[in-house]
Amino acid sequence: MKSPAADPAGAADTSGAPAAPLLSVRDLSVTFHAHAEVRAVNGISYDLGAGEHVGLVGESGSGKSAGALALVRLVPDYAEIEGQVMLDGVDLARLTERELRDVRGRRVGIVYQDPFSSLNPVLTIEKQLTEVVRRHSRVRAGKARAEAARLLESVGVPNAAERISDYPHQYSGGMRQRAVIAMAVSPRPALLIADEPTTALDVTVQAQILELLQDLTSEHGTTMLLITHDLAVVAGITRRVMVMYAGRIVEASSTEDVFTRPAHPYTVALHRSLPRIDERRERLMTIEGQPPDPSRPIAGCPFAPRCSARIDRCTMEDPPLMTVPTARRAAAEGWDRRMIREQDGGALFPGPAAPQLTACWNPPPPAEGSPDE
Amino acid sequence: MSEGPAAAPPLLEVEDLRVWFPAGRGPAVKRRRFIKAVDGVSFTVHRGETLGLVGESGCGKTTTARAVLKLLDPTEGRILFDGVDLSAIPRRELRRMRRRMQPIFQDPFASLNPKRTVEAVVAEPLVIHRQGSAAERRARVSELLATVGLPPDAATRYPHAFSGGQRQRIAIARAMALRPDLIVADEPVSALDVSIRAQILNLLGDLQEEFGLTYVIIAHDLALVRQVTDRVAVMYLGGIVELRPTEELYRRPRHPYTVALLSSAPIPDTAAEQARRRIVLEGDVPSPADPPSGCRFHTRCWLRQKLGNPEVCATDPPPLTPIGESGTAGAAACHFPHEVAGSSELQETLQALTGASGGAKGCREVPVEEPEISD
Repeated sequence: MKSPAADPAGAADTSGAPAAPLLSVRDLSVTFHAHAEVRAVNGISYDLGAGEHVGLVGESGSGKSAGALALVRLVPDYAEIEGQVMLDGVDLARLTERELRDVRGRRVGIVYQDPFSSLNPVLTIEKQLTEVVRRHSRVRAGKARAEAARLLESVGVPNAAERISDYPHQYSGGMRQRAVIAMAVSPRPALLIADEPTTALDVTVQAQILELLQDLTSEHGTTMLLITHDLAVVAGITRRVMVMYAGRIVEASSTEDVFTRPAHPYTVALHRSLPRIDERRERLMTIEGQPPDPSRPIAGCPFAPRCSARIDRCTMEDPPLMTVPTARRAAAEGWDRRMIREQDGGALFPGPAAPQLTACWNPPPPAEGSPDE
Repeated sequence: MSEGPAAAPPLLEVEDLRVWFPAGRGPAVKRRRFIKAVDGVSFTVHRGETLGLVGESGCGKTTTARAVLKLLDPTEGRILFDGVDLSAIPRRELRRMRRRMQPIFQDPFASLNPKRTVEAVVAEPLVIHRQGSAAERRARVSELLATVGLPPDAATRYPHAFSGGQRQRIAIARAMALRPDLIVADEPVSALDVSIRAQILNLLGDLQEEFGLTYVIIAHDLALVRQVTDRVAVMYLGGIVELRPTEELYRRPRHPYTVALLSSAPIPDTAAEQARRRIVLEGDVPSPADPPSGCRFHTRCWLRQKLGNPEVCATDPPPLTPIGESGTAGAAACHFPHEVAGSSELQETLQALTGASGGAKGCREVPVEEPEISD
């Protein structure tokens, strides 16, 4: 065990930051040693405060899932994890497989995209829920069954008392995901990782599942890391968002900032390229080219080849996460990209006054037109 | 949009289409049961127009598209392409008609033969329909590759060498090979990365403009549908519940199911998302083997509950009825369109959709008009 004070990054004692974060990730990298060496996650650092809801947004291959699942070492054998993952003062990277198995489920719950993959098709929902209950608390079978029924009801499965004896295939997609969520929240984990929890679901069901996740995590003060490729999904239920591109966090801000004054050209381009339900656009802006091949080393910023704001420095030097001045300050002093400054240790701090961070040498000026509050 | 080409005969007419799949035998009575995947769907598509088919999984949108392409035989109903009933013509003639309608599928990783070069893949429709000499075909392929924005040397490579977006370009080139009039695209970008989607959507738009193409686009993403279509058919459980010009649908929806869909769709705007209240549909979509009597949607309809469960919804299937007097505002299949128009649920849904405003978005269009409530 290590105490947070021994954290070499020393990030937790920066002034203004509240109590030590629940989760503190430093320089996390994940490398797949397959045919080629693929660096899926490239030295990311962030903190999650207790009870925070944070979105992790990126395209496929951006490293968002690998980065999150690597927290509890849920990666294939040929993947190598480097860096430090402190959960409540415990470095998960140093735990043995046996100790980690206890962390998974009990301390860190996971909800995957496809609920079918998390359910055993030949066991009833009751059997599977009861198993989860008994694994995490030593109660007798009868009591565990009662708890399983209560859980299923709490996640909004209609006629739970009856439907609990069904098999997974008898459930609709939305109900299966509800059952999986019941299993994940049953041991009251401190951290819930939701990896594209609604991508396989229809739009009316998606809204319900997001609401359920929101309600359950708020009720128990659970920290939630919501992984998605869909920016719109994080708008309603997270307070902060981290945007990943090519294995790096390229922007980290309050959710509001990410939507109203994005500070990384990639985030800006994503916004302009997405069709919007609330208006029809003349023409969608395209992001030319495609994400870089992760098996090849990149000189400079990984987004530079596709970036319209590229300057010479971008192709030579990989930008770290840097603090962007507030819109008000930028407006008062005149926006100048020299106003961005490097973060200590590149870490993100939980709390309402989260700074806006960008990994860009030439970020877009903040708050075009709209003055800061 | 919809008025211009209305004078010319439609390119595609679908009349009372039914596609039922046998589903074994019923338990008690020895009677065949059917999954009524598509159950009485009618619509027309005019030349140069884009029609969107939207709905949740299982609503029958893909089955409708497959029937239109004659990839499966309808159980009942007629499909007229350029005035010709496709089920009433001999095979050879059908083959000729088929050149003029081409599909684009969702997954470009599954739809391209990995063992054939891009040239062979794109030329395949030309070979099947015996078009041109080998040299002519080769020339046509390089022309097509240029049209869809692929480099000339793509011809000699294999599909695996290309990314998802480029593969979808190859699939589009193949669909364009026979100079079709109609393209039916089933979820053409949902398998692609977010940053690639706009490229493909813009390409489809450019091709339509250049070649006067007509599109039927199937999608579940309501934002995408608003962006790329002229008219939209909303499907639920095998039937069309609302068929409207696109902007009408998003500004003045008249079916409770459409309102529920719009109310569920996430908006990329923090303030709008946090302020909105969603309509929650109770329960699951009923089985298409045994659809509800009357209005298909009545078992989950929020408006029906609000109105005290009127009997008519459970007994009489509401026909698609024109909205307004002009005849250009489309149609909805609901017994209570005025009540939809006057509901607070609709007002709230539209408010969330139009109240959204963020620094990151482009210029916005004229704000929504107050719906007319006649009574």
